[in-house]
Amino acid sequence: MTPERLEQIEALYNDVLVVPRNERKAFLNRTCGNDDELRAEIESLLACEDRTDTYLEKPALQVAAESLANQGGGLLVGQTLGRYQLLSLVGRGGMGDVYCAVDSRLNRIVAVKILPSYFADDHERSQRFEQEARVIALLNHPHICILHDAGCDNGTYYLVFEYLVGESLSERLVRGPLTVSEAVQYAIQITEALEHAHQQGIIHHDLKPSNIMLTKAGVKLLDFGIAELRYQGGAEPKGDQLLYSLALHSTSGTLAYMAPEQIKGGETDVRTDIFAFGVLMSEMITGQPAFLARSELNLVASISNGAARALSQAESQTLSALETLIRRCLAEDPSQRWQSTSDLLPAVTGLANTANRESAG
Amino acid sequence: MAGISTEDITRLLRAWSEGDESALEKLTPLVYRELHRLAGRYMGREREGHTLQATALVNEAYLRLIDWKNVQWQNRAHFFAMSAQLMRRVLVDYARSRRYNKRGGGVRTLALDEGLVVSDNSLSLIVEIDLALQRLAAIDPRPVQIVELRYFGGLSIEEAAEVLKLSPITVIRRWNFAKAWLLRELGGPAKSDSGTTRADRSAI
Repeated sequence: MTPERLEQIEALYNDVLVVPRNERKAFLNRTCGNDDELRAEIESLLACEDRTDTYLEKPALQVAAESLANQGGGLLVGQTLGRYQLLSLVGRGGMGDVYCAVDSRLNRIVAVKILPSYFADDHERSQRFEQEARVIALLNHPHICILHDAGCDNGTYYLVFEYLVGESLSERLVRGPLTVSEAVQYAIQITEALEHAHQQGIIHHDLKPSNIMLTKAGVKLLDFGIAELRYQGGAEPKGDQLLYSLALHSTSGTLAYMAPEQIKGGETDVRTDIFAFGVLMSEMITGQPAFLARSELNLVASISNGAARALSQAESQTLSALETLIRRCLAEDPSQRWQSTSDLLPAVTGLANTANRESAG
Repeated sequence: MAGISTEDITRLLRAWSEGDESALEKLTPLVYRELHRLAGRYMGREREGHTLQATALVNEAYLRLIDWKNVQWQNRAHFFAMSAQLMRRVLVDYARSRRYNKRGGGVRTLALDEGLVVSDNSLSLIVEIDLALQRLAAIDPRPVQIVELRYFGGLSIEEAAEVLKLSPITVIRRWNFAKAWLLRELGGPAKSDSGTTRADRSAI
């Protein structure tokens, strides 16, 4: 086809477009004459007319960005944020995608968490981000995932953590409940980590199985205080703000671990984490989703129902001690719970001793 | 990377138009950055329950990349042709690589809280449009130029008219034709009885 012919088709096509549909046939008869090829061209183009309105009207950049957004997060692989080159996407959660990255200055592998873009739109929030990141960076404990760095590159806020190899507790629980001694071992480490943070005035606020990594070095708590970053303004989340925040971020699982005061948007403190710890603990033992354990907590029954064998006396002793401990974590009224981790830790350690005696005997 | 301005982009674009291929390597991440930022803002908007201000956001993204109001090139048309070509090249490569990733496995991902959803054929469409444009360009590059400026370069009818020193009506007519032509090339009209859309079929 020649450019002249194409131009002729273009001109005629546009002319026909403004002709009422029922008159087009006659119009084409007049204009095309014996040129059947021209007529066929125009008719085949007209057949596509109704779909051209939306077609191509969205710029390619928008198409690509929407596709990216539909996938729930950008694959930033290959990009560099600050001095971190992102190598691969290793996980994604409510608070943003996590990439395995290389720290080009220290030449080590790190985990980079990209925070959702709504941080970028709000100056107050971004200031708060910096402030909170500095606080989280103070945490230095063998059972807390270390925050190395935090930064912003062109509107993208990110946190840099130590890179952990292992599986999350939620992944582990898919395969069934832990043994009592395993659960108690983890519980001790979690309690120690919480104690370290609480002593510095940092509350986790989002303790749940997907935030706990099981590594060779034991438990590692992730996202310490990250929940704090979700709240704008004041130090504590308040009613509407929390619900708003929930609507934004909560995957259905998170609610199950929230203390009543947290759900109601009341004041939260260390006892809020203790509540979540209780839910976590019962889930480790029963393998049941947290909300089930919470509504009908009867560990001895639920485990003996699940177990093929009858529980020995010693085992059921440990379990009932465990149940008492967990019930106290889950009291609706915070003043009825364990009041602090230093209050809770001896009780958990005591359980470990009972469980050890049990397995020895 | 943080300090790249639209002037730098303009400079790199000029270098690229003069045959410096290394300039393209520096430009590509800038387009990607804008792409990801835009995607992030779409997600943010959705989560906040706001109406998607898609058009405003995409215009803003284009402006950050190509500040065409302030371009001092003697030949503005050339500048825009190059910008649009840049977007075409980068976005088509992007779409190709994403398609490849989906088929070839690509990055191993691990879902933490939510599943990884990858079902989107709109990227294939970008690749197919590119191929159809290559065929059209073999006959006449003029309609292709309009598609590049509008579809890849993000220019409005009026902007494209200004750049090309054509009347808006000429641009509209050429654009109308190009759209119908491309649609026909990519598989013709939708069958009214099936609910299949263009994007659905491009996956096959």
